[in-house]
Amino acid sequence: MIAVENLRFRYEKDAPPAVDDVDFTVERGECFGFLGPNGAGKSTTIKLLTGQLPLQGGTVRILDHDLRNPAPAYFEQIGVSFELPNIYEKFTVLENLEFYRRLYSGETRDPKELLELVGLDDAADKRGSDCSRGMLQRLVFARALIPNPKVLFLDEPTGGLDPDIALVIREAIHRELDNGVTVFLTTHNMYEADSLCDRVAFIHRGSLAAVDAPHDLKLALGERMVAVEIVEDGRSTTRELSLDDAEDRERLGRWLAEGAVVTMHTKEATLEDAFVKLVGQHL
Amino acid sequence: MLNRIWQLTRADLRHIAQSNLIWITVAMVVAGIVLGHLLGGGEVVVDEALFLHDATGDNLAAELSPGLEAEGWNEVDAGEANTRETRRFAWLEDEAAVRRAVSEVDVGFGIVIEGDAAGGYAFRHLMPDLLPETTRRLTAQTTDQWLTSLLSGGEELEEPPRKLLPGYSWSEKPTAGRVIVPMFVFGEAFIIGLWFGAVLMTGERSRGTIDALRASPAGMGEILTAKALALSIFVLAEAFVTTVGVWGLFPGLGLAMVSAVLLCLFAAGLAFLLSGFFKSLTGFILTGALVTFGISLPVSSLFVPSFPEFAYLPTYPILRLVREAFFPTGQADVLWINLGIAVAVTAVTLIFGGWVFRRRLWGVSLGIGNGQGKEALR
Repeated sequence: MIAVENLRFRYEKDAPPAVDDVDFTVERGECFGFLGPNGAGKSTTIKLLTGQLPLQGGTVRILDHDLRNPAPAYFEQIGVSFELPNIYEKFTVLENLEFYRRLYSGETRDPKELLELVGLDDAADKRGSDCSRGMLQRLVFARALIPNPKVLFLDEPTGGLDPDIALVIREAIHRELDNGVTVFLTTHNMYEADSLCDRVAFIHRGSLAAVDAPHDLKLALGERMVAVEIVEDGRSTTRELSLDDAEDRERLGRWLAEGAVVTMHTKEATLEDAFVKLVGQHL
Repeated sequence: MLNRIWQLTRADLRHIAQSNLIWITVAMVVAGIVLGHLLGGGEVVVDEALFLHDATGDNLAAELSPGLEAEGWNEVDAGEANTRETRRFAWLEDEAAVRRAVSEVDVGFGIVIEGDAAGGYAFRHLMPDLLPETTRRLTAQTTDQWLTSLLSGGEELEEPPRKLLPGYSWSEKPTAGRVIVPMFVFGEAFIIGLWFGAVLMTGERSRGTIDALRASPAGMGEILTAKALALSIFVLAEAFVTTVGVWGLFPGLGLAMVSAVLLCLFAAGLAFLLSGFFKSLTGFILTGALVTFGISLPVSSLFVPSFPEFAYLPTYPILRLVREAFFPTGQADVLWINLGIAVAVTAVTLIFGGWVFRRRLWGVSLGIGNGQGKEALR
């Protein structure tokens, strides 16, 4: 579905590469996440994959289209949701969708249904300039679904949104995945990547540091820890124990046997922990 | 593809209509029509006069009247005279053209011979049969009493004609009336092309909607073609309203529309080019104002003797077309040569402007300024 080899891009001749020798593949129906801090090369990658930047080095094949010279037919099959709510403020919500719909020659989805999908059906006649950030973000997401895409590119789809609005968008992404759509997602939200993605890639300074399933990355790069609150000498204290350490395991068993444990929480590694461990920087 | 271009054009027309700048163009149309009628119609007899031009006055003077040369006629600044008079109708050397022009113009209002007065002298000798009808009203049409005297009887000169050049006042009421409408048509077309072009382009960039368009099946060529088309439709509407508003005052209104569209598209090409360097209209203002000033300089030749160097400005051939539309010389070569140059200059500017805009949008540096690429890196 998506095959990227040796992808390279730099904005200026003397500038460091924004994307440097990146390789990955994405299978049909998969949700693939690009995780990295600001400036890591996530947006540049998505711009390269959506034909907004020219390929300078490497090869990209998506839906059997070579992106060195993408045909209009390629754009008929993809949907792109941008990080910033880039819509026509003087058009209404519905007009924005209808305008984009008319740019496609293939079968498209009904704008009114899409507004319903993202909970904007009541705001159809509202001008873009009168919409809140959350509404605009949902509108941009709905616009990406107009061509009934086979591949959906989502650039920080829930960035800066209230949790309840972010949830609406995540649910909509789940629905698209259930329908067999391939999703390429960039985010620096580890929870979003964890909950949505089949696989994630860590990108740092333009290069991929790791590509794997979130669970496997957490296992491989995190530490299996347990936080245990115990009563010792009449005082309550909390200890962190590693499940990979024999002494800690023995100590935990003893406390459990003695009934000294008050509370116990697993402290499995997060994707952020894994990222930090791998590249030495927070997301 | 055509449907896509049309959909994009419709959206761009709507953006134009919803822009605050629309009121400036509406005001210009109204002002052009009102001033055209106030200054350009009614008693303005010069509008219907035939202007004759002697490009080689010095030589003719020398040939026809050696005595005049001795009086200093050959010191007349032919270059300046030519610059002024290229806007006029007929060349004295081309007798057939003069006769045709005389037959087509209501010469009952008179014939005004401009430039150095050797032209008048030559006219009298070359086409004496035309004189009786014209000299009758000539006094009323020109402040040049000397020329009147010359044409009506060839009386003795009292002073060298070069001193009379300032007497050919281009600011007197009839002349101003003649040029006010073409000036407004020129101004409207340029403002629409450059400023509305910038509104469309920087608007797409500042909203980020250009990214959404480029992620759609619409190619950059279609996007830019639609913008050029929207601007053309708008300028055609404006030029149509203006020219219909002054109906009867001028001939050649079809050519005026063609000239307006060409000028608008040329300015749109500049807008495409400059919009690559500015993400908002605010950033565009100073540069846009300077470009507007520089490119509009040839318009000054409608009013005053201007510099021959203006001919090298790309808008000059378009201005010649505007002149030809409003003050036709009937010279096919002037029309077609300038039309050809104007079309070529417009096409090159549009293509180059679009290419630069696309390159800047990609963030690939042309070695000037700060592209989107750096912004993306940040």
